[in-house]
Amino acid sequence: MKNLYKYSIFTLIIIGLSITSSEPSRDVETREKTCLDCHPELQKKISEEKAHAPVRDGNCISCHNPHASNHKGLLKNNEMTLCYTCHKDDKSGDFSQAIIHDPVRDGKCLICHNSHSSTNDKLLIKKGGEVCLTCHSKDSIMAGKESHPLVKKGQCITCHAPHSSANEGLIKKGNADLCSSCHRVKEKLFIDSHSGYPVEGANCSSCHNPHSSNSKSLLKASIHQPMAKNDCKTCHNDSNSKDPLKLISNGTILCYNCHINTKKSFEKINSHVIGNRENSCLNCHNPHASDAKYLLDKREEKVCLKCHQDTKRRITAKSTLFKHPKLENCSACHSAHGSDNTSFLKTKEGESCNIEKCHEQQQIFSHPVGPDIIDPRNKKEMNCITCHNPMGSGYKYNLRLDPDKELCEQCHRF
Amino acid sequence: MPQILTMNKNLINHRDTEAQRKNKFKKISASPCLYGKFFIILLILSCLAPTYLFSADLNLIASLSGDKIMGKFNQPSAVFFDELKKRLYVADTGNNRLVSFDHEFNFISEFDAGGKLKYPTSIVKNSKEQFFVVGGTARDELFLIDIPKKIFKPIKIKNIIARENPFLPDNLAIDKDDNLYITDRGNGRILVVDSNGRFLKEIAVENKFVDLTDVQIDTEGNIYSLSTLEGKVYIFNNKEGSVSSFGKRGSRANEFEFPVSIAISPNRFVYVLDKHKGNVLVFKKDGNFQFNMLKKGWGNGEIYEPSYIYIDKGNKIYIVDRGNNRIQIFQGGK
Repeated sequence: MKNLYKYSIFTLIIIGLSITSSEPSRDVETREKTCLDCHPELQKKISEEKAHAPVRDGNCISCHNPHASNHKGLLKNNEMTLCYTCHKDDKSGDFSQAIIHDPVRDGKCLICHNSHSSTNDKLLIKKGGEVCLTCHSKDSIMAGKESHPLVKKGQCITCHAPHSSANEGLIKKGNADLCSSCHRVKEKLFIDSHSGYPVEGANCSSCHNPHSSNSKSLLKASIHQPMAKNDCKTCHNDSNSKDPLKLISNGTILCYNCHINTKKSFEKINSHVIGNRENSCLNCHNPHASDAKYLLDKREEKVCLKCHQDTKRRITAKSTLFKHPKLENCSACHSAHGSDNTSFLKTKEGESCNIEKCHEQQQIFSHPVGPDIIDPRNKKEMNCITCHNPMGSGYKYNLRLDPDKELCEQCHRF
Repeated sequence: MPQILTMNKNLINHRDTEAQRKNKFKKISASPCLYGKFFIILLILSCLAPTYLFSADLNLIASLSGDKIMGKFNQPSAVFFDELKKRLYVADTGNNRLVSFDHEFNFISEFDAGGKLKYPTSIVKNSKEQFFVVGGTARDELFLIDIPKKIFKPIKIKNIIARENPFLPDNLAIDKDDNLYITDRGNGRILVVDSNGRFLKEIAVENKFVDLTDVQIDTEGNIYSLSTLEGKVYIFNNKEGSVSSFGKRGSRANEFEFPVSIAISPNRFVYVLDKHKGNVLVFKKDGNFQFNMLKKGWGNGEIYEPSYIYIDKGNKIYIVDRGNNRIQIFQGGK
């Protein structure tokens, strides 16, 4: 009897289970769940916009791991490398020419592109030049009264390569070739407007700002005096001569013909003459026109950091938490041509921090400094630079060492 | 092989008979795999050995920062050690003088040509007891100093090849034939002239943007130079006339941040002084990086924004520790 009772219960359970398990197959069609079942918002966007090929094909797993990942958004890899798994450098070397756009170099494709879909071509986050203006401030590019027509239209990529280029400024062709694609450089009108000099092969951006300017013909803000007077013969042969663009003297002698006193500024213990076989003045200055002070070729810090790469690396390092506010204005403290003081400083080390009375108060109440206070480590006179590093530091107040550890202990042995 | 046996004794089962144990010991000690590991360890140690030997052997033997008699240095630029007289000469640029020390680095005297010597930046001495010094108010002159004959005069280099910029002498070196090697910071080249100032040849590299900031000559007459901006060492082979180069700028241990001076040790290692790194990078002549030496700082044995390195025949390493306003002398391994 007991056995019959057991068998009945067992049979009922089996029947019950078979009914439960077979019930869904009657109502719902069997199929695998797709990513879009849980992400319907994406489905809507894809249907309305231009979609990234893997998204369109439903191949989500080409970028995402459906189970687990160490990266945000369950991405298979970090952003730095993920895009490049498919978008490898093509034969044109789109990503790997000499000058690489910062986001491309850093693998930050999503600064300009959407990953899934976009209403714009190339999955761009915004239309045409608007993408560029996300980072490149419109106010600085169109700072002048007049702007280049292409800049006004936001057609940046007519001249610039967005990923990489063989040319400075990511321009698509060499400077003269690029401009001459639109400007008729061999026509008389063009030559006449350049005082009769055949400048078709010259670097146009040497005199013109290709984006915008307050001057006519987009000329740069400061013009070298002879050029402003159309007196090109101060430096070049006559426009009617056989070789009109040839310079009348070589190297720095050409500049010293007029800038006699400047020569003296190099005659110091620390002299910034940088030896190579070009006119060394042109390492920093533009002989025609410039938007920077002193006819510098670029903004001051850019000119200095072009050679002082290690300084650039140090001052931009994440560990350099504390920076002097004038760090990008090198000439606030340093004399660019030459100096009798250490490190090309404008004044002696001990007086350097008080130029323009910047740190007048600190000199009164700080740790004793001056000619009578001697650093026991190197027997030098103590001054602000003994403990502070104006070029940037990982410690507060630009201190050279950790103030809670070794800074004081270097001299004060406890 | 006792170490190997000890290391592997746990492989032997405690239940093994004595004969089995002996047999296993034999196999273990003779195992080619273990020999391989042993030799790999030996190989690694032998590779590391020179590093430890050299760096451990470096001792600070003098730190010259001046005293009441000679006063303090003011931005010294270069040194030269006279092997015959065993004297050290320092170009004390900011004080417009040359300072001499004996072989124990005691101050002997100073020389300023009666106030006529300005901004001396480099100094060498030939076998005829004549000094050659770069200096002058415009830092563009080469002077001959012959103390016994009481001569102090600028040398005009005859038949010099004119280049883009005016000739601006900077650093000096001298070979066993008393020929002078002068870096021309105006034109990125090295001029070779004889003791009479007669131009012999110029040395430069193809890339016209290369600056050649320092120069040294080894005992075979090979010329070593340095480009600060490129971060590269150039070696001009004396016999073959070939040029080789190595190095680049960067922040790794074997890369240069701001190399300013070069020296060759008696065993022909190339020492490059890096001003901003505050250390010395040592290479073999083929560019194979060996080790870094010294560190940035202010204490004895540390260097801060140094400007010049010189190595004498006894492997004493002289560093013009300009940021600390002193000359530090180290004894390298013999």
